[in-house]
Amino acid sequence: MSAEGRIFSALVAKDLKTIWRRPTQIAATIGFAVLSVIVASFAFRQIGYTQADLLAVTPGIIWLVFLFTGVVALNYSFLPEYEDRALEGVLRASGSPATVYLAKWTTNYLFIAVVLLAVLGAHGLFFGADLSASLALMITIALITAIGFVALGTLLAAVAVVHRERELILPLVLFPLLIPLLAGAVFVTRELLSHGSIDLSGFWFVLICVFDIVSLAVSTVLFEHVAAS
Amino acid sequence: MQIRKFVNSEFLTSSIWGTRIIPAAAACLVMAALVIVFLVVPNERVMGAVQRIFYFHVGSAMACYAMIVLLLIGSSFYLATRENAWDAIAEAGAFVAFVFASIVLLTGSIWGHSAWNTWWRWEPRLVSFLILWLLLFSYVLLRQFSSGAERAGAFAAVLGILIALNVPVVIFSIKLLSHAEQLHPEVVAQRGLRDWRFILGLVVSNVALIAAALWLWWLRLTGSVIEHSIRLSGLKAHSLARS
Repeated sequence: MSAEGRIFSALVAKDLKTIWRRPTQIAATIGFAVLSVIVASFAFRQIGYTQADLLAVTPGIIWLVFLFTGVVALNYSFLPEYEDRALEGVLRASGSPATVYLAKWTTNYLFIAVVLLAVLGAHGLFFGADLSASLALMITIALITAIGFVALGTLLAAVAVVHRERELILPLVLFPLLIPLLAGAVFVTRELLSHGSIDLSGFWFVLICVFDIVSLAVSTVLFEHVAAS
Repeated sequence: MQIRKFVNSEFLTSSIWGTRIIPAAAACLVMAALVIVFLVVPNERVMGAVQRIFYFHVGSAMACYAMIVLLLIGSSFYLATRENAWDAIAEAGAFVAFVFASIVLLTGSIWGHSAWNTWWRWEPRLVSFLILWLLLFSYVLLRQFSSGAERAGAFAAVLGILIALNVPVVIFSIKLLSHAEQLHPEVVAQRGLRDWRFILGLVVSNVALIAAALWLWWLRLTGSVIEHSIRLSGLKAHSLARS
């Protein structure tokens, strides 16, 4: 394994260990996701939505809940480094900022993937969304969408973490950038839930893929300027 | 290029460009645009007088894009050279771009109210411009939150580049759907300006609003450079008094 590869896997292992040692954080984030789904379910039933109506809004709710939960989770991703002033040390010890970024991206991605599964599960339970028929495809789409979300989210979390108002800044900066991705994800999810399959060469699916690639590439390049002091 | 030679309070407050030429040009051009748009350009056949808002709507959008070009240049050079002058250029560009983007949304809504009988429609051009406005808004907020913070310039520069990447999306969003599916007109590409007076009005108002934006940018740049130097001299005086 190359030197960069060793640094990469060491960083990922370190971050995973940090997450593992704070199980309350995982539990709280998943709890937040499930709670949001329940609250949304109540809100829509309260205005007289039937089960069929609920299914029609499911694609939107899934991604809305995911967006809010994801931003809460990402807010914490650089907090330990910031509080202990460890990011500079990590950057100095390791090779390139790109490696540090990609390692952070990997752990954030794994964490977000778990959150996503919780969101989907909660939808199946409390929203009556029948995801079982196309579960594998649904999870695949969710994981593909998460690539771009985590790419921009990790970059901007590093920007937001030094500010006192970080909980406000991250969504304010991140959400407008994510609108194309969100629109694509909602469209593809709706297509999947109503037809049971998706059009792989359709505009929105291609948009999601292009967004993933561009945001991951741009963020990897720009992270150096955010992190280097 | 030695950017600091130009972006300092002495040059910005004394240069003939900023104190005479650009303000005078902006004032004359805006007056000329008003005269042409309201007195020379004939009434549009279908929409009547309301169509005249089009000149300020498109002109403000062009001024907004011009300022985002300055934002992109300032942000990229700041990341490359770490000269505060580039950061000030980008910041001033973003602030003025935000003002003009707000004007675009406002005039567009007024126009839409009389042309489409609605203040807002969810279609590609409108939505993508709203996203641009939101991004500029968050840039301005980030600046306010992080004034004086370490590395604030680098963060803002990163966001500035991401904003500039969004502009081509806005410009080409209109090609996303066919003409039957959306309402936002594509006047110039559709050769909608059949009378030379329409074209004159459009060109003059575009140039006038870009000149006005440049002047506002110059003022904002001067303001932030002076603010920076005051803060710096205050720090210096403080450390002198302590030693």
